[in-house]
Amino acid sequence: MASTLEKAKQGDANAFAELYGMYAKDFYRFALCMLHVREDAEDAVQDAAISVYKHIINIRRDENFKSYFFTVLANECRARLKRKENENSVPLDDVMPVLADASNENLLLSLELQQAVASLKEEERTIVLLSAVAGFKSGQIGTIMGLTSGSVRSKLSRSLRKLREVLSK
Amino acid sequence: MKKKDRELLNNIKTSLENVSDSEKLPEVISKENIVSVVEHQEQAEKARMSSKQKRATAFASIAAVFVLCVCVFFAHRAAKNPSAVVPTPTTTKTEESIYGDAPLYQAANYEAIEQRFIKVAKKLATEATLAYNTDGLLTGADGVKEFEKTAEAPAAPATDNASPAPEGGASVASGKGGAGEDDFSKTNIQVEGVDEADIVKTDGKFLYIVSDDFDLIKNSKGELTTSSNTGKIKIVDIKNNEEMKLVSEFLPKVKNKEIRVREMYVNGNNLIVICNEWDYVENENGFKDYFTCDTYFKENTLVVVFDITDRAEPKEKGRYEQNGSYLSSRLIGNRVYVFSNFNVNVYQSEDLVKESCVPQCGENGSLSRIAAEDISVMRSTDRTGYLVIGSINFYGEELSSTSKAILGGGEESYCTKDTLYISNSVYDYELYTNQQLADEEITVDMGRTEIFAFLLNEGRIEYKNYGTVSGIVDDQFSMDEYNGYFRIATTVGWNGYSIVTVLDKNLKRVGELTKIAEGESIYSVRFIGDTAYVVTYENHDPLHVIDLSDPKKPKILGQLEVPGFSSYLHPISEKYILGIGQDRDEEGNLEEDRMNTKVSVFDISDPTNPTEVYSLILDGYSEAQDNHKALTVLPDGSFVIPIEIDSLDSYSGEYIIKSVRFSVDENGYISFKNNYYSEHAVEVYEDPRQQEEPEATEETGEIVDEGFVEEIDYDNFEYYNFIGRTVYSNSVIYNIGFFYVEAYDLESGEKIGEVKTVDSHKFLERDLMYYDDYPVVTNSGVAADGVSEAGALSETTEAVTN
Repeated sequence: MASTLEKAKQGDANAFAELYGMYAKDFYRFALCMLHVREDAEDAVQDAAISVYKHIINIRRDENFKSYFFTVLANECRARLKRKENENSVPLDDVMPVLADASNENLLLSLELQQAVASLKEEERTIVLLSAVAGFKSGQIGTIMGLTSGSVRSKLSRSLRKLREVLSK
Repeated sequence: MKKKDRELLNNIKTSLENVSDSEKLPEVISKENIVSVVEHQEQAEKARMSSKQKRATAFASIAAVFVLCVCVFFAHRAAKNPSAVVPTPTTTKTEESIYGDAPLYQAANYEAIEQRFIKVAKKLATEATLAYNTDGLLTGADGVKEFEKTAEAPAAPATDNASPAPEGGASVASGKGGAGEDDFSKTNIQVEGVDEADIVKTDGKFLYIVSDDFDLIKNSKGELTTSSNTGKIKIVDIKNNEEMKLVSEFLPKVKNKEIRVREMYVNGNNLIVICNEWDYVENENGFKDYFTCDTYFKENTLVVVFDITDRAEPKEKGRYEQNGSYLSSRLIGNRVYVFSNFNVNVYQSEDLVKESCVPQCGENGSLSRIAAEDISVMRSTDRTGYLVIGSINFYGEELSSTSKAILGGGEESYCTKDTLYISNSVYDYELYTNQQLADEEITVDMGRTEIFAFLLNEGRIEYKNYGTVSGIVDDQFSMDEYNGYFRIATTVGWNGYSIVTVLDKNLKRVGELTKIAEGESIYSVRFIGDTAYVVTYENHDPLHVIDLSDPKKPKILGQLEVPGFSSYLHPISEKYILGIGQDRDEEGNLEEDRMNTKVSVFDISDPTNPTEVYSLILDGYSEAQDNHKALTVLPDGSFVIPIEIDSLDSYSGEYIIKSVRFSVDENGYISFKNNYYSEHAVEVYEDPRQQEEPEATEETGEIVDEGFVEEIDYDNFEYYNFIGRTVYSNSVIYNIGFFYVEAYDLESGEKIGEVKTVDSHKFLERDLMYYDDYPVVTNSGVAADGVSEAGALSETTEAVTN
């Protein structure tokens, strides 16, 4: 029996959506935390999906789907951030509240945590989120970002230390 | 992994789930919708339209469009609706022989541009199957005619005579020792003779400062509020250092628009101020702005020239505006070249797209479209953003200007006296298999950099060439022109590897050195003559010395590994270069997590064996690590950098701001010279509303935070006086702080005088206004605990304002 991936490779969009659906929320959360703007996150995920679908022939095993998707998505987010950085028109602080419904007090704590994550550098944030949201191990993150697993580990622990420091203030 | 690390990661995961689970996955990216997105074009059309129409702002989404839909339009336009565009046949041969594989064309007329944008808008709305058509190059360029170098370009307006600035013409010299009679420091620039704008300038008699100041005004209801314009120019008379005077403070006047003063130039009696300008426009089409939800804004770059013959009463001489947000600028001779990115909102009605798709510019408030022949169109993409370049002659009675626009956009700029290079990074989704990742079968788009070159000829801007290289540039110092070759250093991937590419004057690749320092990213670059110095970093700082004397075969001559990194390289002499960066331990961590600034001198006299002769590690952060303009070179060859030591921990710790002077002798030894301490650093950060000491309750012994009381020690409250720049004039060092300018004797380091340039109480009042709604934000931008009750606070605000 052909695997879901095989079906998707043969152009079965439903099979593709099946694979996509397994991780869709993780994709969205990751993009949201990287970009802070809901619409941008939606676009990034949608565009990553389009790209992955086009290049799905490159994925050999089912279990690689997730990391392949995150690779494309991470680059999507990166490109958007780079462009924004140069536009210099929407300060990060102003778009932050989009992340959470601040009127809901239960979410205040998580807002704080997210703001702390947002204060990290782009690369650090990517590593932290790939680890926390996608649950990847350092080797997988290394593959996605073109880093060695050792440097992912040291960057991750450095980023987490930074986070703790920010949170303790 | 440590237990506490795992817990923190779990917390992040849970906190994100809280947010995302409070609602369903957005409709546009639901599983069901993705099926239609990838499968059915018609369904996708609807889905995508709804997604796009929900867009909050034109700007954010257009930024996205750049990336996501690079090549669709042209691939489909010829087949689908060729009649809508004025057809102008061109031959592939000529294109390639003149412009290489990605040519630009001069627009034939406005109609052609309008039609192009309308088509792009339609395509973006409907095209959803696959946005990444990488072979979408069209052979025929309908609607645009081949770019021809006009033999008689528009005559240079006014006369660009090369007469130097009457006094203090700040356009020459990198500040290196003893430049003529000037005994004051100048902005640290990249290219001799090409001045760069900054937030502080001096001419030896006055300081010119762009400060982040604002006004408190009363709104129509009589409530106190802040002015929408931010940033002011402050002119400080420093002829008598014991009694420095703030002689004037001003900002360009605007009507119904909002501006933010960004940077400036001082050239003799001309003060050239560059601002971002937002023109808020009501939008009937449901396109909303992030902030106000019922307007959107047009962003312009505004250049205002003031005659400052009388420093106390600057007079506006003229102004120039161009569409787009300010990117960068240069001053050469008597001209300012200003670059901006202008994005066209294609998610609106056809009429509005038509109306707004040609960039506008002009002097003294009247904007008109840039002439069609001055607009170059990239044939192979459906981008919706332009790079706009304005050239403004500020000499003579009136301003005159010329402008150019290129469909494409820009990021970093490198400029010599006659050629301007602007880089732009592109992610094309030309996925290729990365060797390193081959076993995982993952292909990664690593991005590439486009380079647009323009000739600057007596104020005229002529498009010259286009080129492209793999990887992404770090900053302007990654680019250089020498002996007819253009050299550029890029990093491929996150920390993939680096490349130094040599291009000829047509921006065709001549040679390259690739796979430099795999697993590391470029932190700084400096090209000096035939040699490139490239610092890459992972845990160590390898300084690579690369020989470019044979442009076809660049090669690594030597390298040096030291802990930490240099993020800026500054040539001192033929033998030494100075590096400014950070010291790190063997694992790449900061010692005890304390920020430091490391100044190193590298001996490069033997290129095969570069050595670190000496280094100075300073406690605290210096902006010079990230911004070359924060390094000040004194006429005697010594250096000054601002330093901020922040070891604040919750409500205790120290906060010191100062500047540090050091010099490098002929043996490469760095000697520390002076500390110039600001007396306005707040030693302990406290919330302006005094906090009561938490008391232990009798029953439990637990400490209960009682929150804030509503008293403010108004008279003694002070904000920290962050130092952005330090300048030198006539044996005096000036720390330009946020609120104060402080003067010190160069040799003794003793403070001579100060002047307050910004009223800090105004900031306190402003912050109190916001406390009702927002958590307290500390200096480091982190929300602190304890938002007190709104009622109590508004009383406080009243008490203050009365």
